[in-house]
Amino acid sequence: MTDHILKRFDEELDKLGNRILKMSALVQQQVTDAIDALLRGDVALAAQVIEGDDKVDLYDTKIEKHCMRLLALQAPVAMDLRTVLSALSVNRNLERMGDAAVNIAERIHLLQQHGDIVSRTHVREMGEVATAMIKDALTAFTEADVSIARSVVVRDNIIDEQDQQNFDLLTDIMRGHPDLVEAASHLLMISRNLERLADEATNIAEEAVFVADAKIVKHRGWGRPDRSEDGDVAAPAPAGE
Amino acid sequence: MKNSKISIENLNLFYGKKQALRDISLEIPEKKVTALIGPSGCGKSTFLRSLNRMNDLINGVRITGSVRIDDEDIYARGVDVVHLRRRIGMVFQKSNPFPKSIFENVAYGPRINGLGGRQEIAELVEQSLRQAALWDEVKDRLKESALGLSGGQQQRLCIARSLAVGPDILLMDEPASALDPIATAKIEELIFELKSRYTILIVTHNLQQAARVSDYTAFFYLGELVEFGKTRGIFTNPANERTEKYVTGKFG
Repeated sequence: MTDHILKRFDEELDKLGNRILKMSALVQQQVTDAIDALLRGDVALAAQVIEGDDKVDLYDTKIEKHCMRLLALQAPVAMDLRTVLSALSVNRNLERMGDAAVNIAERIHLLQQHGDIVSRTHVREMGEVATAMIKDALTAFTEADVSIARSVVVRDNIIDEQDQQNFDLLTDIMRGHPDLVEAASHLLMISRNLERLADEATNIAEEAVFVADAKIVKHRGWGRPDRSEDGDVAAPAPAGE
Repeated sequence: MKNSKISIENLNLFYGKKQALRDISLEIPEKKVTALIGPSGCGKSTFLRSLNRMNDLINGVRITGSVRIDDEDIYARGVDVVHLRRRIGMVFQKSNPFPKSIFENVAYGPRINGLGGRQEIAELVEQSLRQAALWDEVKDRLKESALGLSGGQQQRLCIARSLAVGPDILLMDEPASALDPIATAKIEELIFELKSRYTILIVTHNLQQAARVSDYTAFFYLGELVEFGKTRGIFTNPANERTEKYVTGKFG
Protein backbone atom coordinates (compact mmCIF):
# COMPACT_ATOMS: atom_id res chain seq x y z
CA MET A 1 0.00 0.00 0.00
CA THR A 2 1.73 3.16 -1.07
CA ASP A 3 -1.08 5.41 -2.16
CA HIS A 4 -2.64 7.08 0.86
CA ILE A 5 -2.79 10.86 0.76
CA LEU A 6 -1.15 10.77 4.19
CA LYS A 7 2.33 9.47 3.35
CA ARG A 8 3.11 8.96 7.00
CA PHE A 9 0.26 6.49 7.25
CA ASP A 10 1.74 4.54 4.31
CA GLU A 11 5.11 4.53 6.02
CA GLU A 12 3.59 3.29 9.28
CA LEU A 13 1.73 0.47 7.52
CA ASP A 14 4.89 -0.52 5.61
CA LYS A 15 6.85 -0.52 8.84
CA LEU A 16 4.24 -2.74 10.48
CA GLY A 17 4.37 -5.16 7.52
CA ASN A 18 8.16 -5.30 7.75
CA ARG A 19 8.06 -6.03 11.45
CA ILE A 20 5.62 -8.88 10.90
CA LEU A 21 7.88 -10.28 8.15
CA LYS A 22 10.96 -10.12 10.36
CA MET A 23 9.15 -11.72 13.29
CA SER A 24 7.82 -14.43 10.95
CA ALA A 25 11.34 -15.24 9.74
CA LEU A 26 12.62 -15.34 13.31
CA VAL A 27 9.82 -17.62 14.54
CA GLN A 28 10.19 -19.95 11.55
CA GLN A 29 13.90 -20.27 12.41
CA GLN A 30 13.09 -20.92 16.08
CA VAL A 31 10.67 -23.70 15.15
CA THR A 32 13.04 -25.29 12.60
CA ASP A 33 15.91 -25.19 15.11
CA ALA A 34 13.78 -26.66 17.90
CA ILE A 35 12.74 -29.58 15.69
CA ASP A 36 16.31 -30.10 14.41
CA ALA A 37 17.64 -30.04 17.97
CA LEU A 38 15.01 -32.60 18.97
CA LEU A 39 15.78 -34.97 16.11
CA ARG A 40 19.54 -34.66 16.54
CA GLY A 41 19.52 -34.46 20.34
CA ASP A 42 21.41 -31.19 19.98
CA VAL A 43 21.31 -29.58 23.41
CA ALA A 44 23.38 -26.54 22.35
CA LEU A 45 20.96 -25.71 19.56
CA ALA A 46 18.09 -26.18 22.00
CA ALA A 47 19.72 -23.66 24.35
CA GLN A 48 20.02 -21.24 21.46
CA VAL A 49 16.26 -21.56 20.82
CA ILE A 50 15.47 -20.87 24.47
CA GLU A 51 17.68 -17.79 24.41
CA GLY A 52 16.21 -16.62 21.12
CA ASP A 53 12.73 -16.31 22.60
CA ASP A 54 13.56 -12.92 24.13
CA LYS A 55 13.86 -11.53 20.60
CA VAL A 56 10.47 -12.98 19.69
CA ASP A 57 8.93 -11.38 22.78
CA LEU A 58 10.51 -8.06 21.86
CA TYR A 59 8.89 -8.17 18.42
CA ASP A 60 5.58 -9.12 20.05
CA THR A 61 5.66 -6.02 22.25
CA LYS A 62 6.82 -3.72 19.44
CA ILE A 63 4.13 -4.92 17.03
CA GLU A 64 1.39 -4.66 19.65
CA LYS A 65 2.41 -1.08 20.47
CA HIS A 66 2.67 -0.26 16.77
CA CYS A 67 -0.88 -1.52 16.13
CA MET A 68 -2.23 0.33 19.15
CA ARG A 69 -0.63 3.54 17.90
CA LEU A 70 -2.09 3.10 14.41
CA LEU A 71 -5.58 2.40 15.80
CA ALA A 72 -5.47 5.37 18.17
CA LEU A 73 -3.88 7.95 15.89
CA GLN A 74 -4.94 7.01 12.37
CA ALA A 75 -8.37 5.44 13.00
CA PRO A 76 -7.99 3.07 10.04
CA VAL A 77 -11.07 1.73 8.24
CA ALA A 78 -11.90 -0.90 5.62
CA MET A 79 -8.79 -2.70 4.23
CA ASP A 80 -6.48 -0.66 6.48
CA LEU A 81 -8.46 -1.67 9.56
CA ARG A 82 -8.34 -5.34 8.56
CA THR A 83 -4.60 -5.07 7.99
CA VAL A 84 -3.97 -3.70 11.48
CA LEU A 85 -6.39 -6.09 13.22
CA SER A 86 -4.91 -9.10 11.44
CA ALA A 87 -1.36 -7.94 12.26
CA LEU A 88 -2.35 -7.93 15.94
CA SER A 89 -3.79 -11.40 15.64
CA VAL A 90 -0.88 -12.89 13.66
CA ASN A 91 1.54 -11.29 16.09
CA ARG A 92 -0.13 -13.23 18.88
CA ASN A 93 -0.03 -16.47 16.86
CA LEU A 94 3.68 -16.01 16.16
CA GLU A 95 4.45 -15.32 19.79
CA ARG A 96 2.68 -18.53 20.81
CA MET A 97 4.62 -20.44 18.15
CA GLY A 98 7.79 -19.09 19.70
CA ASP A 99 6.64 -20.37 23.09
CA ALA A 100 5.88 -23.81 21.62
CA ALA A 101 9.40 -23.95 20.11
CA VAL A 102 10.86 -23.11 23.54
CA ASN A 103 8.68 -25.72 25.20
CA ILE A 104 10.05 -28.36 22.80
CA ALA A 105 13.63 -27.11 23.26
CA GLU A 106 13.41 -27.21 27.05
CA ARG A 107 12.66 -30.95 27.04
CA ILE A 108 15.51 -32.03 24.75
CA HIS A 109 18.17 -32.50 27.43
CA LEU A 110 15.71 -34.62 29.40
CA LEU A 111 15.50 -37.06 26.49
CA GLN A 112 19.24 -37.44 26.00
CA GLN A 113 19.56 -40.75 27.82
CA HIS A 114 16.68 -42.22 25.79
CA GLY A 115 17.69 -41.03 22.31
CA ASP A 116 16.06 -43.88 20.40
CA ILE A 117 12.60 -43.19 21.85
CA VAL A 118 12.29 -40.08 19.65
CA SER A 119 12.75 -42.06 16.47
CA ARG A 120 10.00 -44.51 17.51
CA THR A 121 7.39 -41.72 17.35
CA HIS A 122 5.93 -39.63 14.52
CA VAL A 123 7.53 -36.36 15.65
CA ARG A 124 9.80 -36.15 12.57
CA GLU A 125 6.79 -36.34 10.19
CA MET A 126 4.83 -33.96 12.42
CA GLY A 127 7.72 -31.50 12.35
CA GLU A 128 7.86 -31.65 8.56
CA VAL A 129 4.11 -31.06 8.17
CA ALA A 130 4.05 -28.28 10.81
CA THR A 131 6.99 -26.32 9.35
CA ALA A 132 5.50 -26.56 5.83
CA MET A 133 2.14 -25.37 7.18
CA ILE A 134 3.77 -22.41 8.94
CA LYS A 135 5.69 -21.40 5.81
CA ASP A 136 2.56 -21.61 3.63
CA ALA A 137 0.35 -19.85 6.21
CA LEU A 138 2.73 -16.90 6.32
CA THR A 139 2.84 -16.78 2.51
CA ALA A 140 -0.97 -16.88 2.42
CA PHE A 141 -1.09 -14.04 4.94
CA THR A 142 1.46 -11.74 3.33
CA GLU A 143 0.01 -12.31 -0.14
CA ALA A 144 -3.65 -12.43 1.06
CA ASP A 145 -3.98 -15.66 -0.93
CA VAL A 146 -7.11 -17.63 -0.04
CA SER A 147 -6.18 -20.77 -1.99
CA ILE A 148 -2.84 -21.16 -0.17
CA ALA A 149 -4.72 -20.53 3.09
CA ARG A 150 -7.10 -23.35 2.24
CA SER A 151 -4.18 -25.72 1.55
CA VAL A 152 -2.91 -25.01 5.08
CA VAL A 153 -6.22 -25.56 6.80
CA VAL A 154 -6.82 -28.98 5.19
CA ARG A 155 -3.47 -30.23 6.56
CA ASP A 156 -4.47 -29.60 10.17
CA ASN A 157 -6.22 -32.99 10.28
CA ILE A 158 -2.99 -34.79 9.33
CA ILE A 159 -1.23 -33.34 12.36
CA ASP A 160 -4.15 -34.13 14.65
CA GLU A 161 -4.03 -37.78 13.52
CA GLN A 162 -0.25 -37.97 14.00
CA ASP A 163 -0.64 -36.52 17.48
CA GLN A 164 -3.24 -39.14 18.31
CA GLN A 165 -0.96 -41.89 16.93
CA ASN A 166 1.86 -40.58 19.12
CA PHE A 167 -0.43 -40.65 22.13
CA ASP A 168 -1.37 -44.29 21.51
CA LEU A 169 2.23 -45.27 20.87
CA LEU A 170 3.67 -43.44 23.86
CA THR A 171 1.05 -44.71 26.32
CA ASP A 172 1.86 -48.24 25.08
CA ILE A 173 5.54 -47.59 25.78
CA MET A 174 4.69 -46.31 29.27
CA ARG A 175 2.68 -49.42 30.02
CA GLY A 176 5.45 -51.74 28.81
CA HIS A 177 8.47 -49.81 30.11
CA PRO A 178 7.93 -48.01 33.41
CA ASP A 179 11.51 -46.70 33.21
CA LEU A 180 10.52 -44.70 30.11
CA VAL A 181 7.47 -43.03 31.63
CA GLU A 182 9.27 -39.73 32.15
CA ALA A 183 10.77 -39.60 28.66
CA ALA A 184 7.48 -40.66 27.09
CA SER A 185 5.65 -37.93 29.04
CA HIS A 186 8.01 -35.32 27.64
CA LEU A 187 7.44 -36.66 24.13
CA LEU A 188 3.69 -36.46 24.67
CA MET A 189 4.13 -32.78 25.48
CA ILE A 190 6.42 -32.29 22.48
CA SER A 191 3.83 -33.93 20.25
CA ARG A 192 1.17 -31.63 21.70
CA ASN A 193 3.37 -28.61 21.01
CA LEU A 194 3.87 -29.66 17.39
CA GLU A 195 0.12 -30.00 17.09
CA ARG A 196 -0.22 -26.52 18.61
CA LEU A 197 2.21 -25.12 16.02
CA ALA A 198 -0.06 -26.46 13.29
CA ASP A 199 -3.09 -24.90 15.03
CA GLU A 200 -1.37 -21.51 15.07
CA ALA A 201 -0.50 -21.91 11.37
CA THR A 202 -4.17 -22.65 10.71
CA ASN A 203 -5.16 -19.50 12.62
CA ILE A 204 -2.79 -17.43 10.47
CA ALA A 205 -4.25 -18.99 7.31
CA GLU A 206 -7.74 -18.04 8.51
CA GLU A 207 -6.46 -14.51 9.10
CA ALA A 208 -5.35 -14.42 5.45
CA VAL A 209 -8.99 -15.01 4.47
CA PHE A 210 -10.05 -12.09 6.70
CA VAL A 211 -7.55 -9.78 5.00
CA ALA A 212 -8.50 -10.92 1.50
CA ASP A 213 -12.28 -11.22 1.77
CA ALA A 214 -13.26 -9.56 5.09
CA LYS A 215 -14.75 -12.90 6.16
CA ILE A 216 -14.23 -14.17 9.69
CA VAL A 217 -13.93 -17.92 9.10
CA LYS A 218 -12.36 -19.10 12.35
CA HIS A 219 -14.36 -21.53 14.51
CA ARG A 220 -16.45 -22.40 11.46
CA GLY A 221 -14.49 -25.23 9.94
CA TRP A 222 -13.69 -23.20 6.85
CA GLY A 223 -11.61 -24.99 4.22
CA ARG A 224 -12.45 -28.47 5.46
CA PRO A 225 -13.70 -30.75 2.69
CA ASP A 226 -17.10 -31.28 4.37
CA ARG A 227 -17.83 -27.56 4.77
CA SER A 228 -19.32 -24.93 2.47
CA GLU A 229 -17.42 -21.85 1.30
CA ASP A 230 -18.35 -19.93 4.47
CA GLY A 231 -17.46 -22.82 6.74
CA ASP A 232 -21.01 -24.05 7.40
CA VAL A 233 -21.62 -27.77 7.47
CA ALA A 234 -22.55 -28.71 3.91
CA ALA A 235 -26.11 -29.90 3.40
CA PRO A 236 -26.28 -33.69 3.05
CA ALA A 237 -26.88 -34.92 -0.48
CA PRO A 238 -30.53 -35.77 -1.15
CA ALA A 239 -31.39 -39.43 -0.64
CA GLY A 240 -30.87 -41.61 -3.70
CA GLU A 241 -27.97 -39.60 -5.11
CA MET B 1 -36.99 -1.00 0.92
CA LYS B 2 -39.04 -1.91 3.96
CA ASN B 3 -39.64 1.11 6.25
CA SER B 4 -38.49 3.59 3.65
CA LYS B 5 -39.32 7.20 4.56
CA ILE B 6 -37.97 8.95 1.49
CA SER B 7 -37.89 7.33 -1.91
CA ILE B 8 -35.70 8.96 -4.55
CA GLU B 9 -35.89 7.74 -8.13
CA ASN B 10 -33.68 8.76 -11.04
CA LEU B 11 -33.05 12.19 -9.59
CA ASN B 12 -31.08 14.55 -11.84
CA LEU B 13 -30.33 18.14 -10.94
CA PHE B 14 -28.86 20.84 -13.17
CA TYR B 15 -27.48 24.26 -12.25
CA GLY B 16 -28.02 25.80 -15.68
CA LYS B 17 -26.05 23.52 -18.00
CA LYS B 18 -23.98 21.97 -15.26
CA GLN B 19 -25.31 18.67 -13.98
CA ALA B 20 -24.82 18.37 -10.22
CA LEU B 21 -26.73 15.15 -9.52
CA ARG B 22 -26.81 12.19 -11.88
CA ASP B 23 -29.57 9.64 -11.83
CA ILE B 24 -29.73 9.16 -8.07
CA SER B 25 -32.01 6.40 -6.83
CA LEU B 26 -32.10 5.77 -3.12
CA GLU B 27 -34.42 4.70 -0.32
CA ILE B 28 -33.87 6.53 2.98
CA PRO B 29 -34.94 4.34 5.92
CA GLU B 30 -37.36 5.74 8.48
CA LYS B 31 -36.13 6.68 11.96
CA LYS B 32 -32.53 5.95 11.10
CA VAL B 33 -29.54 8.22 10.60
CA THR B 34 -28.22 8.32 7.07
CA ALA B 35 -24.87 10.00 6.49
CA LEU B 36 -23.99 11.55 3.14
CA ILE B 37 -20.26 11.55 2.49
CA GLY B 38 -18.01 12.45 -0.43
CA PRO B 39 -15.42 15.00 -1.48
CA SER B 40 -16.28 18.70 -1.83
CA GLY B 41 -18.44 19.33 -4.87
CA CYS B 42 -19.70 15.74 -5.10
CA GLY B 43 -23.33 16.82 -4.77
CA LYS B 44 -24.15 15.68 -1.24
CA SER B 45 -25.37 19.09 0.00
CA THR B 46 -27.26 19.65 -3.26
CA PHE B 47 -28.88 16.26 -2.74
CA LEU B 48 -29.80 17.15 0.85
CA ARG B 49 -31.36 20.44 -0.26
CA SER B 50 -33.38 18.69 -2.95
CA LEU B 51 -35.24 16.80 -0.20
CA ASN B 52 -36.97 19.93 1.14
CA ARG B 53 -36.93 21.84 -2.15
CA MET B 54 -34.41 24.39 -0.93
CA ASN B 55 -32.87 24.32 -4.40
CA ASP B 56 -36.08 25.96 -5.70
CA LEU B 57 -34.67 29.18 -4.29
CA ILE B 58 -31.69 29.09 -6.67
CA ASN B 59 -32.10 30.53 -10.15
CA GLY B 60 -31.59 28.19 -13.08
CA VAL B 61 -32.04 24.94 -11.17
CA ARG B 62 -33.78 22.16 -13.07
CA ILE B 63 -34.75 18.83 -11.57
CA THR B 64 -35.94 15.59 -13.13
CA GLY B 65 -36.91 12.34 -11.47
CA SER B 66 -38.90 11.99 -8.30
CA VAL B 67 -38.57 12.44 -4.56
CA ARG B 68 -41.37 10.84 -2.58
CA ILE B 69 -41.84 11.32 1.14
CA ASP B 70 -44.31 8.89 2.67
CA ASP B 71 -45.22 8.05 -0.91
CA GLU B 72 -46.09 11.63 -1.79
CA ASP B 73 -44.19 13.29 -4.66
CA ILE B 74 -42.77 16.52 -3.21
CA TYR B 75 -42.17 17.97 -6.68
CA ALA B 76 -45.76 17.37 -7.82
CA ARG B 77 -47.83 20.37 -8.81
CA GLY B 78 -49.81 21.88 -6.00
CA VAL B 79 -47.42 20.81 -3.24
CA ASP B 80 -47.39 23.42 -0.48
CA VAL B 81 -43.65 24.06 -0.03
CA VAL B 82 -44.14 25.87 3.29
CA HIS B 83 -46.05 22.89 4.65
CA LEU B 84 -43.34 20.57 3.26
CA ARG B 85 -40.56 22.46 5.01
CA ARG B 86 -42.51 22.35 8.25
CA ARG B 87 -42.31 18.57 8.03
CA ILE B 88 -38.60 18.69 7.28
CA GLY B 89 -36.39 20.52 9.76
CA MET B 90 -33.01 21.76 8.62
CA VAL B 91 -29.84 22.57 10.53
CA PHE B 92 -26.89 24.26 8.89
CA GLN B 93 -23.14 24.35 9.39
CA LYS B 94 -23.26 27.78 10.97
CA SER B 95 -25.84 28.15 13.69
CA ASN B 96 -28.22 30.96 12.89
CA PRO B 97 -30.31 31.94 15.92
CA PHE B 98 -32.58 34.94 15.58
CA PRO B 99 -31.41 38.03 17.54
CA LYS B 100 -34.14 37.35 20.06
CA SER B 101 -34.45 35.62 23.39
CA ILE B 102 -33.84 31.89 23.74
CA PHE B 103 -37.56 31.39 24.35
CA GLU B 104 -38.61 33.45 21.32
CA ASN B 105 -36.25 31.56 19.03
CA VAL B 106 -38.07 28.33 19.74
CA ALA B 107 -41.56 29.84 20.07
CA TYR B 108 -41.35 31.69 16.75
CA GLY B 109 -42.11 28.72 14.48
CA PRO B 110 -45.07 27.34 16.40
CA ARG B 111 -46.47 30.83 16.85
CA ILE B 112 -46.46 31.81 13.17
CA ASN B 113 -47.84 28.39 12.33
CA GLY B 114 -50.67 28.91 14.81
CA LEU B 115 -49.74 25.81 16.77
CA GLY B 116 -51.33 26.83 20.06
CA GLY B 117 -52.03 29.43 22.71
CA ARG B 118 -49.61 30.89 25.21
CA GLN B 119 -49.61 27.88 27.50
CA GLU B 120 -49.26 25.34 24.69
CA ILE B 121 -46.41 27.32 23.12
CA ALA B 122 -44.59 27.47 26.48
CA GLU B 123 -44.95 23.69 26.81
CA LEU B 124 -43.77 23.20 23.25
CA VAL B 125 -40.69 25.36 23.90
CA GLU B 126 -39.78 23.33 26.97
CA GLN B 127 -40.38 20.03 25.21
CA SER B 128 -38.27 21.09 22.21
CA LEU B 129 -35.43 22.36 24.37
CA ARG B 130 -35.51 19.11 26.36
CA GLN B 131 -35.42 17.05 23.17
CA ALA B 132 -32.46 19.12 21.99
CA ALA B 133 -30.68 18.41 25.31
CA LEU B 134 -30.50 22.12 26.08
CA TRP B 135 -33.26 22.66 28.67
CA ASP B 136 -31.13 22.15 31.77
CA GLU B 137 -28.55 24.63 30.52
CA VAL B 138 -31.00 27.44 29.62
CA LYS B 139 -34.16 26.97 31.74
CA ASP B 140 -33.17 29.81 34.08
CA ARG B 141 -32.36 32.31 31.36
CA LEU B 142 -35.01 31.79 28.71
CA LYS B 143 -35.48 35.52 28.36
CA GLU B 144 -31.82 36.19 27.65
CA SER B 145 -30.55 36.71 24.13
CA ALA B 146 -29.80 33.55 22.16
CA LEU B 147 -26.68 35.27 20.86
CA GLY B 148 -25.13 34.95 24.32
CA LEU B 149 -25.07 31.15 24.07
CA SER B 150 -21.92 29.23 23.10
CA GLY B 151 -21.56 27.91 19.54
CA GLY B 152 -22.57 24.40 20.56
CA GLN B 153 -25.57 25.68 22.54
CA GLN B 154 -26.64 27.86 19.61
CA GLN B 155 -26.52 24.84 17.33
CA ARG B 156 -28.67 22.82 19.75
CA LEU B 157 -31.04 25.81 19.99
CA CYS B 158 -31.39 25.70 16.20
CA ILE B 159 -32.19 21.99 16.46
CA ALA B 160 -34.79 22.78 19.16
CA ARG B 161 -36.24 25.46 16.85
CA SER B 162 -36.55 22.89 14.06
CA LEU B 163 -38.20 20.37 16.36
CA ALA B 164 -40.78 22.87 17.67
CA VAL B 165 -42.82 22.86 14.46
CA GLY B 166 -43.22 19.08 14.59
CA PRO B 167 -41.17 17.74 11.69
CA ASP B 168 -40.62 14.05 11.05
CA ILE B 169 -37.42 14.49 9.05
CA LEU B 170 -34.27 16.39 10.05
CA LEU B 171 -31.68 17.45 7.49
CA MET B 172 -28.31 18.42 8.90
CA ASP B 173 -25.65 20.02 6.72
CA GLU B 174 -22.33 19.67 8.57
CA PRO B 175 -23.98 20.52 11.90
CA ALA B 176 -20.82 20.13 13.99
CA SER B 177 -18.04 21.24 11.67
CA ALA B 178 -17.62 24.58 13.43
CA LEU B 179 -17.74 23.15 16.96
CA ASP B 180 -15.09 21.98 19.42
CA PRO B 181 -14.85 18.24 20.26
CA ILE B 182 -17.05 18.43 23.39
CA ALA B 183 -19.80 20.42 21.66
CA THR B 184 -19.49 18.01 18.71
CA ALA B 185 -19.91 15.02 21.02
CA LYS B 186 -23.07 16.60 22.48
CA ILE B 187 -24.52 17.07 18.98
CA GLU B 188 -23.62 13.49 18.06
CA GLU B 189 -25.22 12.16 21.24
CA LEU B 190 -28.29 14.27 20.48
CA ILE B 191 -28.52 12.83 16.97
CA PHE B 192 -28.45 9.35 18.48
CA GLU B 193 -31.26 10.30 20.90
CA LEU B 194 -33.39 11.91 18.19
CA LYS B 195 -33.35 9.03 15.75
CA SER B 196 -35.98 7.11 17.69
CA ARG B 197 -38.46 9.81 16.61
CA TYR B 198 -37.05 11.35 13.45
CA THR B 199 -35.57 10.29 10.15
CA ILE B 200 -32.22 12.07 10.03
CA LEU B 201 -29.90 12.83 7.13
CA ILE B 202 -26.52 14.33 7.88
CA VAL B 203 -23.93 15.70 5.48
CA THR B 204 -20.48 15.49 6.98
CA HIS B 205 -16.87 15.75 5.88
CA ASN B 206 -15.79 14.04 9.06
CA LEU B 207 -15.73 10.36 8.17
CA GLN B 208 -15.31 9.27 11.76
CA GLN B 209 -18.41 11.26 12.62
CA ALA B 210 -20.33 9.50 9.86
CA ALA B 211 -19.06 6.18 11.22
CA ARG B 212 -20.05 7.08 14.79
CA VAL B 213 -23.52 8.54 14.31
CA SER B 214 -25.10 6.94 11.27
CA ASP B 215 -26.85 3.66 10.58
CA TYR B 216 -26.54 4.00 6.80
CA THR B 217 -24.02 5.80 4.65
CA ALA B 218 -24.30 7.07 1.09
CA PHE B 219 -21.07 7.87 -0.76
CA PHE B 220 -21.36 10.49 -3.51
CA TYR B 221 -18.73 11.22 -6.12
CA LEU B 222 -18.97 13.63 -9.07
CA GLY B 223 -22.74 13.88 -8.68
CA GLU B 224 -23.26 10.13 -8.64
CA LEU B 225 -24.30 7.87 -5.80
CA VAL B 226 -21.43 5.37 -5.77
CA GLU B 227 -22.49 3.22 -2.86
CA PHE B 228 -25.23 3.11 -0.26
CA GLY B 229 -25.30 0.61 2.57
CA LYS B 230 -25.10 -0.03 6.27
CA THR B 231 -22.43 2.17 7.82
CA ARG B 232 -20.69 -0.78 9.45
CA GLY B 233 -20.27 -2.35 6.00
CA ILE B 234 -19.10 0.85 4.30
CA PHE B 235 -16.38 1.33 6.94
CA THR B 236 -15.24 -2.28 7.26
CA ASN B 237 -15.72 -3.81 3.83
CA PRO B 238 -17.07 -1.42 1.19
CA ALA B 239 -18.33 -3.08 -1.96
CA ASN B 240 -17.08 -0.42 -4.37
CA GLU B 241 -13.39 0.25 -4.97
CA ARG B 242 -13.94 4.03 -5.12
CA THR B 243 -15.64 3.94 -1.71
CA GLU B 244 -12.73 1.92 -0.30
CA LYS B 245 -10.27 4.47 -1.65
CA TYR B 246 -12.24 7.42 -0.31
CA VAL B 247 -12.84 6.11 3.21
CA THR B 248 -9.23 4.95 3.56
CA GLY B 249 -7.95 8.37 2.51
CA LYS B 250 -6.51 7.52 -0.89
CA PHE B 251 -8.32 10.26 -2.78
CA GLY B 252 -10.70 13.11 -2.18
